[in-house]
Amino acid sequence: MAEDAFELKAAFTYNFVKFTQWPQTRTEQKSAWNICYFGKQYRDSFMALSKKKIGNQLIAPKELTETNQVAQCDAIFIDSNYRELTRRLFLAVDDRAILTVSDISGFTAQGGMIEIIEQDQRLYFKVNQQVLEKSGLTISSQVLKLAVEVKR
Amino acid sequence: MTALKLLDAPSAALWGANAVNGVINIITKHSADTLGGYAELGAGDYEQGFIGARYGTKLTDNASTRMYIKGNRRDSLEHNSKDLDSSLVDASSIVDKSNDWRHLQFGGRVDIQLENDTSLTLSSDYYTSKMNQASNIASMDEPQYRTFYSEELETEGFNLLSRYTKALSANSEYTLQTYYDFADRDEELYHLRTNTVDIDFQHQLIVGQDHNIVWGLGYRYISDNLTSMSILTSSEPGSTQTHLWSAFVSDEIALMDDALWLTLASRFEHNDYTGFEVQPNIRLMWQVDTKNSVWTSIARAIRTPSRVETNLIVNALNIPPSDVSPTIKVFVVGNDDYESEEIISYEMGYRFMPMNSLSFDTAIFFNDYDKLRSTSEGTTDFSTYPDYVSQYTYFENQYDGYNYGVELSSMWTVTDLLQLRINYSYIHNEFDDVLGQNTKAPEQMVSSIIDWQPLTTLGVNFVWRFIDSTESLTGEGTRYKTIDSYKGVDIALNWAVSPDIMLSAYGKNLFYPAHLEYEAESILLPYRVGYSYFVKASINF
Repeated sequence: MAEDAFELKAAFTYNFVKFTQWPQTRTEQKSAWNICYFGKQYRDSFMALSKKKIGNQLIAPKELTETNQVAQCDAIFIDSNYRELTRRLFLAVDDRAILTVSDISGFTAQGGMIEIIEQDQRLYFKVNQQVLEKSGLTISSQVLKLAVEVKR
Repeated sequence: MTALKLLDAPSAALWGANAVNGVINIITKHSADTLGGYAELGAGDYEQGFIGARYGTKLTDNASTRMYIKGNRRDSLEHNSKDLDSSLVDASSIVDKSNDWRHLQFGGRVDIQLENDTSLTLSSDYYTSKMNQASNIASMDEPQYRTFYSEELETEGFNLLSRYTKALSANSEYTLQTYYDFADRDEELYHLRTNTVDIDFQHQLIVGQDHNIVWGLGYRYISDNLTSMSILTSSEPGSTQTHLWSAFVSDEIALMDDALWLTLASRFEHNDYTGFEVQPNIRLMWQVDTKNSVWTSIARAIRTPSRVETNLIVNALNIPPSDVSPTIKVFVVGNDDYESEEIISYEMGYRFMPMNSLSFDTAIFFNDYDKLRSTSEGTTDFSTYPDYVSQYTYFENQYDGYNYGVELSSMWTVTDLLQLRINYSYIHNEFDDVLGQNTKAPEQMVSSIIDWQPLTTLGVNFVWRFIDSTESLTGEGTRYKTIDSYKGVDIALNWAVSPDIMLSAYGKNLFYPAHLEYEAESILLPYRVGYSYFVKASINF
């Protein structure tokens, strides 16, 4: 699972961005989708997304090392080794329209938007609707139906 | 454990005095990352039996906890009288030389997310151990004037820690940590009880795009109580209280984005023995391109005196009487003016990563030591003549020296299922004279490690190592003896019977005869390490 899990989590993140209804101000912008990630071991998996498109725009993966770099991102995947950064990450995102995704256990309960769970060699996810609503993002109802837990 | 950080270089700028040779920083996992249960049970010849269990659960959406217990029983190592100074063999023959031990430990932690930006961790551990040991001390017993005895010593400890972390903004976060630690070691020679209270404040802030600053303040109070046998006396009361104040600051400056970093750091401390101490570090890291990086560092670190060095008097040795001389009792006496030992370390490293799956690390170092421990020829007290005379020698800081060396490590991830590592180190020491440390560092060490997963349910780990010969102090610190080089093989097999059940078998120090690895303090006996095995079953639930 380990190596495959990186690719799957990157693919999950891509699909969450794809099935999110973004504010008009963002969709009118003619710029690439900045999908950012914390975790060097995810480099290959996220770089592989750069061939994909959402709408007419390409994906631009970016590796982050500090929370002061998040303003440029549309979505952020934060790997579970970076739990210590979440406090500052939540302050950095601060209700902005930035989709936060992580495999950190407890991520949605603590203020993240989507939490990926690994169980019995499969991936599931939880969604925190409250945080999504505050930031003006809407996840497609088809995706919500697949979530194991939705916090409203 | 989520991370084991080994810093084999002076780390005093961040960690304070006595982080001279390096730091082992163990970071345990957040309790939300270890939900559910885990248990293990094992047995073998040296590891006679061990048991461990852990359980983690969510208390609320924002709080989780973990508890654990573990215990083990370890057999004695082998003592061979050939390893002992021949003059002591007879006197040692009467004592039980087993050094087996038993250990029990339990504890737990709670992690609470108080707010999006605030978290609190509370943790506590308790341990107790019983160990057998054989020692020898100076005495008036003829003919060796040393007495051997064996005993079961007991140690016990307890700690309580709280860590509060709050983010102030995307670029700033502080941590306030407080802990209490109690430790008790009771053996015939001495009984030491220590109470420590430590308060540590740390603030990280990113200023602009280029400065990653961490600064902190700390205070540590240590209250101890020492009682000891008459060969170990103190010029101070058995109970002492010491205060340690510290401040540190570190600034990692990005001189060129994602390419060149300069780190300036220093720690400022005040301790009750040597007063004010400064321990700076300057470090430069250059990421030349995605495949090459180089770094260099200069650091100063100190080792502060121990109680023995400042105020204890040890009757280390009694020299038997001869035709021309009465018995001479040799005392080593602590010295109030004893200073900190000092090291200035120069290092340089190069990391080459031609592919993601292949990396080479090289480092060279030069360590310049000053004010190392020496003993002076002191005064002689004839007042007890002709029964005996007392010769006093005092701890001083007269020795110095240096060492240099190289460390190479390489890692090749051949496939997802096969990983190879080869490590080599060389160190050359040049010191004035006999040092306090009994066994010198071996000049060369080589190890190769293979991690192989031939089947999805089967893992094999193979380690081969070579450790060079070295020297150890013997004859009450008067001469060196050789400890032969040795080789060893460790093999571990892990079989995942089901996703939650694992059976393992371990063999350690295989294929080569039992050997001495080092000798500890001269009052203890030398022991050989030979091959051993154990099997283990573990389950997740």
